[in-house]
Formats: sequence, structure tokens, C-alpha cells
Amino acid sequence: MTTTDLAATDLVAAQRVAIDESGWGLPYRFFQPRNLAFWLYVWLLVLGTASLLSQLNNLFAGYESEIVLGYIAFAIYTIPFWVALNYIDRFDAVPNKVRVLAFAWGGLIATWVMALNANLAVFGIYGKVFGQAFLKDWGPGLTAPFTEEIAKGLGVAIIIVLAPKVVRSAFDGFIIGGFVGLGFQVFENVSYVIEGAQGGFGANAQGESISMIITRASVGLTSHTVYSAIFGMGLVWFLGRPTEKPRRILGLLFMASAMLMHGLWDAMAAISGGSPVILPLFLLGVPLFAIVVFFLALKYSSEHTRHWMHDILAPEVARGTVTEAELDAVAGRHKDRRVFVKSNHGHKSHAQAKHVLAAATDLGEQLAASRGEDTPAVQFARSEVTRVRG
Amino acid sequence: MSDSRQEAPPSEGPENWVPVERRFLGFDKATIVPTVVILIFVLALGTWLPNINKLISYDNEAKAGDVLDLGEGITITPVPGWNIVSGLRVTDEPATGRGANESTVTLVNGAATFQVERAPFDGTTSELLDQVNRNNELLKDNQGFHVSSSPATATTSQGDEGLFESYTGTDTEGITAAFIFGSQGVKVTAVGPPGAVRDQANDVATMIDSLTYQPQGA
Repeated sequence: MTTTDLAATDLVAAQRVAIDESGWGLPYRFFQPRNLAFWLYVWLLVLGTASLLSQLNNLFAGYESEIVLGYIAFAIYTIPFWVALNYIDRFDAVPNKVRVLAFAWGGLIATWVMALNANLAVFGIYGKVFGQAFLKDWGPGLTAPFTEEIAKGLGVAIIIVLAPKVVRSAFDGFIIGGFVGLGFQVFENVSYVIEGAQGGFGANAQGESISMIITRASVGLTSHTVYSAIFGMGLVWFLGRPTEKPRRILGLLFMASAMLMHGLWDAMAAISGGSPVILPLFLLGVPLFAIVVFFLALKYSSEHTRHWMHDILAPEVARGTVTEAELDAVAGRHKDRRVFVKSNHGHKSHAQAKHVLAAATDLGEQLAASRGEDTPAVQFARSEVTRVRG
Repeated sequence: MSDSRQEAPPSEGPENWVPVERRFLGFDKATIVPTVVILIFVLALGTWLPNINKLISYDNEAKAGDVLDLGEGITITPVPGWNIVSGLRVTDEPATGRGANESTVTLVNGAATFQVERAPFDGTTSELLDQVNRNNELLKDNQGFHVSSSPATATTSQGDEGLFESYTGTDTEGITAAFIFGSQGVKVTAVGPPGAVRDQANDVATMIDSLTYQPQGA
């Protein structure tokens, strides 16, 4: 056996390990009657849906057009967030079925089963114990970061139990948390729209609802989706996974930072005392803080997935399907891919370089799905890399 | 004689197969503890916190001299003994200020609830009352809502005139009153099970009378 043969064998062995560890390509089936979490999820989904429908049924005759408008507006609003999360999860580490489960938890369970009841209860307790002025100042800031972040975080926790083979890394927690947060954000926004329509005695329901849609859409860019992605990643680090050793302090730190940015946002008026100088600093500073932590979380959580993709595709370099530079770019960070696309690696244009990277990613996904076997799908994915390279 | 053609069993069971020794009451043992922990958190947020809130009684009884601030120069004086469930006293000084587009004051006494809502409204007292009735009629939870008296004039001790009427629901009864103060509409409701508001009729009338409006900057 030659040294080259040995190296190739090592690469294939490493590829097998990466496929096993990542869990990529493993099928996920929602119906698992022997999984107790499955029954809990179904029961809570029924409760949450019933609670939402009951509210809608109560208000529908009076605010039909505002309710429909709210749902249409925020269904459209969901699309760019979904696309963005899909772009971030570029190796499709989290299957679509699991993304839908996460979204539904955020939109129907975390909201209508937990957060709504818990928020009202804590407001009531604050008002009784600390008085109405305290409630007005600190009620939202000292309630939602705990009740809502925990309610959403439980969505990541239950998905770990429902799909342990899918949630293998902190990055999976990041993506699942993002989808939970997106569901929460969308359904919460619609409830704000309906609430807004009832403002001013419901005399200008349509105008008030449009105004609320604009307000909620503009302040929501760095809200629940971002908080929950960070929290979800922290939770996976805190709990640990078979392929992700627990990093409890770091996990807690990220979970706490999600709660902190949520709290700072909700309590900014009280903290700044309404100062026209300090308040704008919060309006800019909190989203900035959220974005920085979000990308920091993304950077650290994606290390595992990038290594897995590297090891899955590495034998393809030996086969001559992809080059070393292409492999590094596919398994690299966004910055690495940008550098690759802009540099001259023999491709004819930037667009062609992007196509090569996308086709190589597809090949990696097909290899994971086939457990490294040379299936027709893998062979086709290889031929696609060759075709787009021209 | 053994059948040499018998196929070996597959090395893996069907998808989501749980071996018998890993089951408890038919469930995968590995899923029981985490599910119970998640359930405890769900119950804590969705059920236990609301129950704790219910267990804590209101200890914010209105005292003589208390005046509640509805914003935009509108105040109301609660009758001593009623509990303030929501609403700021004029002596409260929240860091976030008093400014709010809308505000609500809620008082309870036994089974009777007295609520005052203030919000911008562009119209007459009669139009506000019509709008409030329309809202009540369209709410499904208010099935059985029925205005049981013609609108009558209500005059505050300051001399401002509004309208009030009685209504009945499936298992409630009460009164609604409407006032316009400048650009603001004020809706007053007193509601409770049959008899509860009638028992507190004097207090309800006294509180409606106490509505005052001091235009800001005046």
C-alpha cells in the first residue's frame, strides 16, 4: 500500500466520522409514539392553537380586516427572515421539518401557552408587591426577558429530545433557536396589531393596525429571532451533546446575554429616565449589541459544522472533484468565501466561483445523505461541480 | 433441520425503533426525564405563575385624598376601600413619565369592577357611546350583551356632561358612561355579576362625578 493510498484511507475514515458526528442526511420523522416529548409537543400545540383560535374567534367579527391584514403582512415579513436563516444554515444542518417544528413552538406554544399567561401574572405580582409606578417602569423589562426567553428556549430543549440525531452542535441550537424566535416574533406582532386596532376605542381600527404593523416591523429586525438564536446556541453549550462537550459557563453567558439585550430593550425608557440624549443611545446601542453577539455566536457555533463539511468533502480533493482552495472556501467562514470568490483561482467570473462553491456544498450534502457511498445522487452532484466549473 | 437459506435479521430496526429493555410504560426511557423537566417549566410559566398571582391579594386600597391620573389632564377620585388594580396616583412619579397615548384605571370592590379608559377620540359623546356599544356587540365573549336603558345625561361635579346607560350580559350587568374632554374620550364601565354594581351604585356614581379635566397648559 502506498503512502497516497494510506492518506486516502485516512480521509475516507475521517469522512465517515464527520458524517456520523454531524448526523447530516439522517431522516427525521415527527411521529414517534414511544418518545414522550412527542406527546407533550402535540398536546401543547393543540392547547396553543386552541388559545389563539379562541382569541381570534372572539375578535373576528369586530376586527376581521385588521386580523387578516396583520397575518398577511407578517406572513410576508417572515419570508426574508426565513431566507436569512436558511442562508446562514448553508449546509442544511437542520431539516425543514425541524425548522417548522421550531417555528410552530415559537408561534403557537411559547406565546399562547406560556408567555401570555406568565407575563400577565408577573405584571400582576409586580403591581401588587411593588406598586403601579414600579410596574410601569420596570414591568416589561423585568418580565419578558425571563418568561419569553425561557418559553422559547424550551422549544430548543424539546427539539433536542424529539430529534437528538439532528441537534448535534451549538450551531444547530443557533438555527433552531432562530426559527423558534421567528415564530414567536411573527405571532406576537400579529397580536400587537390586533391590540392596536382596538386602541382609541376601535374607532380607527384600520389606521391603528397599519401604524402598528409599521412600528413592529421596524423594531423587530434585531428582536426575538436574534435573541433566541443566541439563547438556543447557549442552551446547547450548557447542556452539551454527544459531539459537543458541555461548556456551561459560556452557554450560560450567551443565554444571559440574550436575556440582557431583551431586558435592556424593554426597559430602555426606565433606564434612560426618558432622557432625549440617553434614549437614542439605547435605541441604537441595543440592536448593535444584539448584532455583535449574534455574529460572535455564529462564528463560534459554526466551527464544528465547518470542520464536518471539510472532512466530508476532503476525499473529493484527492479525487480531483474540488480543489484545496475550493474546499477551504466551502468549509470556511463568510470572509473566506468572499476572498475566494474575489481572487483568481482559475474561475472565469465571480458568479462562476460562487456556483462552484454552491455545487461543492451540494456534493457535501449528498455525500452525507448517502453515508459516504458512491450513489447516483453523489455522482450527479460531482458532475454538477465539473459542469459549473466549465 | 435448519433452513440454511434463512436471511440474517437487519442490523438496525425500523426508524425510531426503541429496544424493549429501553422502554418504560411503552416510552423510550431516555425521553422521560427531559420531557418531565420541560413540562415542569411549561407548567411553571403557563399555570403556576398565574395561580401565584391569584393567591396574592390586592393590597392597594384607595385612601381618602387619593387621586388617580388618567393623563392629558384627566383625573378621577376613587372611593376609599376600593382596590386599585391598575392606574397611577397623581403622587406617583414613574421614571418613564406619565405620557402615554392611552391609559386605564381599574378598581375592584368585591365582585364589582370599575374601569376608566382614556384615549384620543375625534367625535361626540354620543358617537363614543355608539362606538363602545358596537365593540361590545361584536365581541363573541360578550354574547348576550344588551343595552337595557336609553342613554341619560351624566354630569360630573365639575359640570362636564357625558352619557350613560345600563346593559346586561349573559351573566353580568353594569353601566357604561362616555365623556369627551378636549381631544380625549373617556369610557367608564362598572360591571359585575347581577346585583354587584347595583350594590355599589353610590360609589360608582361618586367616582363618575369625580372625573375632572384640567386642560394641560391651562
